[in-house]
Amino acid sequence: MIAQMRPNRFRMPRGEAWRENFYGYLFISPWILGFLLFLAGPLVVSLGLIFTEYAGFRKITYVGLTNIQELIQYDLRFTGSLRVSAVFAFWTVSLAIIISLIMALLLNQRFRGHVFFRGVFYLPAAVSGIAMTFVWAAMFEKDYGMFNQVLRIFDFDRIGWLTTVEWALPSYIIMRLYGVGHYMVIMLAGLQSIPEDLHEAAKVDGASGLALFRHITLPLLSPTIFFLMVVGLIGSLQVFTEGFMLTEGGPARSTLFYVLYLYMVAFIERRFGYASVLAWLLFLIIMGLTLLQFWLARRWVHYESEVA
Amino acid sequence: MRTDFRLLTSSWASPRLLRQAALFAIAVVIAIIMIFPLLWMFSGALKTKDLLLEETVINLIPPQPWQWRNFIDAWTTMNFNRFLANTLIITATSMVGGLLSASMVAYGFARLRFAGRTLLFMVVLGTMMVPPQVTAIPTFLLFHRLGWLNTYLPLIVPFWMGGGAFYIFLLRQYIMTIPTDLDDAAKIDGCSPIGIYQHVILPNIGPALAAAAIFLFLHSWNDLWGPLIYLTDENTWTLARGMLTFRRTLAEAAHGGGIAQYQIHWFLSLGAMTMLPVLVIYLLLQRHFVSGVVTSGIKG
Repeated sequence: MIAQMRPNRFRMPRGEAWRENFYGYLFISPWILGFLLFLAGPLVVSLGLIFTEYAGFRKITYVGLTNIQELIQYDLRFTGSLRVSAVFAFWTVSLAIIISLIMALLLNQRFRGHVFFRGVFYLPAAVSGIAMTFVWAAMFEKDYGMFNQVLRIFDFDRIGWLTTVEWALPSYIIMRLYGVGHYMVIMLAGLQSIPEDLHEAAKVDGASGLALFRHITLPLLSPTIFFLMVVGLIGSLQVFTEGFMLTEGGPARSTLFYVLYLYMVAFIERRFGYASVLAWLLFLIIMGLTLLQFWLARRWVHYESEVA
Repeated sequence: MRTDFRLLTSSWASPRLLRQAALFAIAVVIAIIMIFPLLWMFSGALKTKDLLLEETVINLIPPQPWQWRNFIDAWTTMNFNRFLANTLIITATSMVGGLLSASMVAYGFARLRFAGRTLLFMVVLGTMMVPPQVTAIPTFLLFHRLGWLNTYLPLIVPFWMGGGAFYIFLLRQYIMTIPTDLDDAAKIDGCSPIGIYQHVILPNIGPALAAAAIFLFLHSWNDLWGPLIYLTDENTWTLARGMLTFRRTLAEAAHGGGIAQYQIHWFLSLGAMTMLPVLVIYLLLQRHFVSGVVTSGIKG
């Protein structure tokens, strides 16, 4: 009787299995359609485009490996954009992890009002977007901007934040770090998943605050830090909106982010074949990063299950 | 949220009080750094341009008279009414489509035992690794062939097809936490999976739908890449696309005609207006906002 009411997990009657298959595929059919039309299909097409020269409207020419050769041997904008993105990603992610760790440790102390402060710390991350990017344009402005206003009050010289080679990329890093709340919220969740009794036990054994952090908090937090590294790196490699809105790669290509360059080659220069090489390289870099980090994670990340 | 019993049991000796005060002070400093740019924006939006250039102290409360006309002046430099309407249409239809299709797909993956489910779900997760830029060119060519350029469709239709792996994952994780007893009871009452989805799953995944709705809204509201590629006709522009041109023309005016042309107060009033909906949603739905980030990680 009960067996009839609850379908057996391992062996279903033939009709039941057919029914589950039918409804299963019915429900995921939107995704299957979207996957074929907007992901798998385009992925294959862009792989094919790598070996062509194509401007979108006229005829398509097979050029073999010429695009790849050009990328490796002659394209200075490509190597430049790769360097810009790498420098940006490195500084953004490492600083964001350090700052968010400090903020999360602070909030985890549960002093009076910590819930309110969590809300305030996350606020800039929540409102980051097109409007905030727009406001950053104003804040970095040389004559009226907030940063130079503050400098003026303290009698420092104005800085051409977005208009000088040495300050443009650091300006972007500052801008990104303002949204550190994203990292902080996840870091805080990681901290709160560390069992309290571990700290208590170590304290009973006479561990100091620093030893506690070094030997208990940090190892147990490493999966979270690792996750933030992967996601943060991938996110900062894909910066586009800010770059296109504020500097368009200038001055002197010092902020020509990789995806910005990709966009320009594809949709301004209309070199779809060559842009596909760039796109696939980005895909491979992101996939490689993810896999490398997963591989590294197994060596140094300390998962909680290993403790138990 | 756990209660810190040490606080309740130990006496309020002065070192503890001192520690509390120190922590509080650090938090206040960070909070000021975080909130200052926003205050600068909102106050600046109500100032004259000359005041922004000349003031030697940053007045976070703008001196009278408040320049409410900045908002109107900035809004009327371009057809921002049209841009707002376009943005609202695109955002609303993407949200509806995304929530509907992603919850359906998520239900399928969470509850229905069809052949190849595990493999297909791994594919769903794998697609999160594919940056949208890789598929952009063929997708552009496809929409071009379909004659969909300068329509809302390229920005809406993909959301009706599962909405993206992120939303499917978010909703599936939540559906997994609903006890299957409810499904079984409905099944005994003669409900088909469609009925279960409609009467059991949908009413019970409110918080996850709220989180997904927030992210869908933010995506469409902030998207510049899509409108830039698909919308060249000014009548179809979204707010983000319009703001790009606003920024470009004003920045060029600044280079050509000196700083007198640079209407920075308009930047601030326009920024404040477009940020306001996001800010209101954050203040009202903060819990869902943060829970979505935590369950599924940060996006880009």
